[in-house]
Amino acid sequence: MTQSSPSNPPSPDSSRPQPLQRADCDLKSGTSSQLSPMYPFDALCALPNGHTASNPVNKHTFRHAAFQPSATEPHAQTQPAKTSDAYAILAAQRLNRPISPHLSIYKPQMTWYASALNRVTGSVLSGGLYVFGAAYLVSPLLGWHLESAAMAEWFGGFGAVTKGVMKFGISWPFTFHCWNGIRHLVWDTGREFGNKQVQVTGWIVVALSVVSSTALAFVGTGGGKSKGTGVGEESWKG
Amino acid sequence: MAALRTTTSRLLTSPFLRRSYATVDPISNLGEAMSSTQPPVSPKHTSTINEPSQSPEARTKTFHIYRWSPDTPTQKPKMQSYTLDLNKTGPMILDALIRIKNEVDPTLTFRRSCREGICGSCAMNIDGVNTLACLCRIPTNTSHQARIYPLPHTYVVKDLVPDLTQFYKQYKSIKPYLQRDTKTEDGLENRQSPADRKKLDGLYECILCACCSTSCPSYWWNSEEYLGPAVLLQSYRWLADSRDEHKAERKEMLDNSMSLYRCHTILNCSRTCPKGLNPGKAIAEIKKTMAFT
Repeated sequence: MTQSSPSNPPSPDSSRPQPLQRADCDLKSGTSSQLSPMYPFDALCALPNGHTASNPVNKHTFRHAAFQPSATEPHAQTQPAKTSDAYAILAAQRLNRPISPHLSIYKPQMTWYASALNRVTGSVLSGGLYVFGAAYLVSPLLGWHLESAAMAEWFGGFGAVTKGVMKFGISWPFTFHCWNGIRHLVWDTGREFGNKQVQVTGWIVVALSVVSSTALAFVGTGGGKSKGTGVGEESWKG
Repeated sequence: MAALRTTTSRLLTSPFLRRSYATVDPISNLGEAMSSTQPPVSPKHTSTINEPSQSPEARTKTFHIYRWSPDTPTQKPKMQSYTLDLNKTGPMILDALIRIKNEVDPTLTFRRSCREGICGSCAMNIDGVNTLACLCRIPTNTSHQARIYPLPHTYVVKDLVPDLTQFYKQYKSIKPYLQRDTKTEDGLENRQSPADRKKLDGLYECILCACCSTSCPSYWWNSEEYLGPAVLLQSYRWLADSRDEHKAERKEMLDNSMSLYRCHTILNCSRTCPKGLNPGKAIAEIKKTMAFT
């Protein structure tokens, strides 16, 4: 194939390498269907050459080589598109495309579950504070009793276990968010980013939060009834 | 009055109010509003396509694969089940996919090229974790059924092929090439000390397979504006390069609430990277650079 270099003009006598070469470049001209200065062999193929067409291989080649795209010939429907149309085309395609599943199929892992919990606990704590604060502000107008003394009295009416569980419900979001906050502060210094460290520190935060919130929840329950002894009525009313 | 006006104009031209955004044009109103995530039809409600010829000592494993075709856009995505004899299948998930396509169902569509973890084409969600199918072994436990989805929260082109146009546009937006204004002393090469070169280790190896970006919940919800871990890792690759002279400009591009700071250190990115890189750490280093220099 490389025997005849482009400098050698193809002659009918040296026909041995020619059919190969022509058949080879015919593929190229068939797909591009345009004469390109990049491919000098394409030009060679596309030129109707009388004496080479007598060869059966070349006859086949010639038919393709002589093919010129015309408006009357049936061929595949194409639409001219400009680069500037890309956005519109993409937008039109996206109207049909579904979005692949995400939250529901991604494997539960310490990384994103801990992060989600961090946000949920943060929202619950701050949201709870805002709601209670607002309720406390309007309580004199609406006749609610949200003063500390009334709250303490109401809470003191529950059994020890109920009290512990209720306190745990508030203390665990608080402790988890605090300990995980420390984890985030360590990350902000660029440390503990390895996959293993992330895993280990995550479980440490879970363990610490459970232990510390349990401790907070049951503070005072061991030392008898704290009802009425803690907050004096006068100190709040006076 | 004049004094007031000058104050105002100075205020307006302060970098705080005149921030440039590295993020690309959002395809905003079209996003979630128009096409929503549809949970695929459960494999319980679809047929199973079996191995052509079963042998008695077959180790048959079931693969549930996400299918959706643009030819029938009104049909819901579904999970199609296939069974394969592992004795006749190569060790990797990609081998199983290729075998399904060759011998069982030629309509199954996925991207693949190098089959050795260097091209990043076959990134997909396998058993709940994003990874490259060519680097993921098929669990030999045949009672476990493999589940294969496209990369999460991407527009599906067909079956396991996601539309990554936005991802590539974002990559282009960070100008991922060396930017210099001055010539070197000899005018030939931009030289670098071995110590400076070492800073690029763990950054240049990224193959942009998009596994990390599409594992990031923050990127799921904000992919129009947040650059995502893969692109930020590449951004840091140029911030950390001693030869680059446009660091200030690069940092200014990231100095807004969305491009960089939507990272909440969730770290799904580092966990999932099939090349063992650490995009989470790279983002933390960018944040440090932004804060302290």
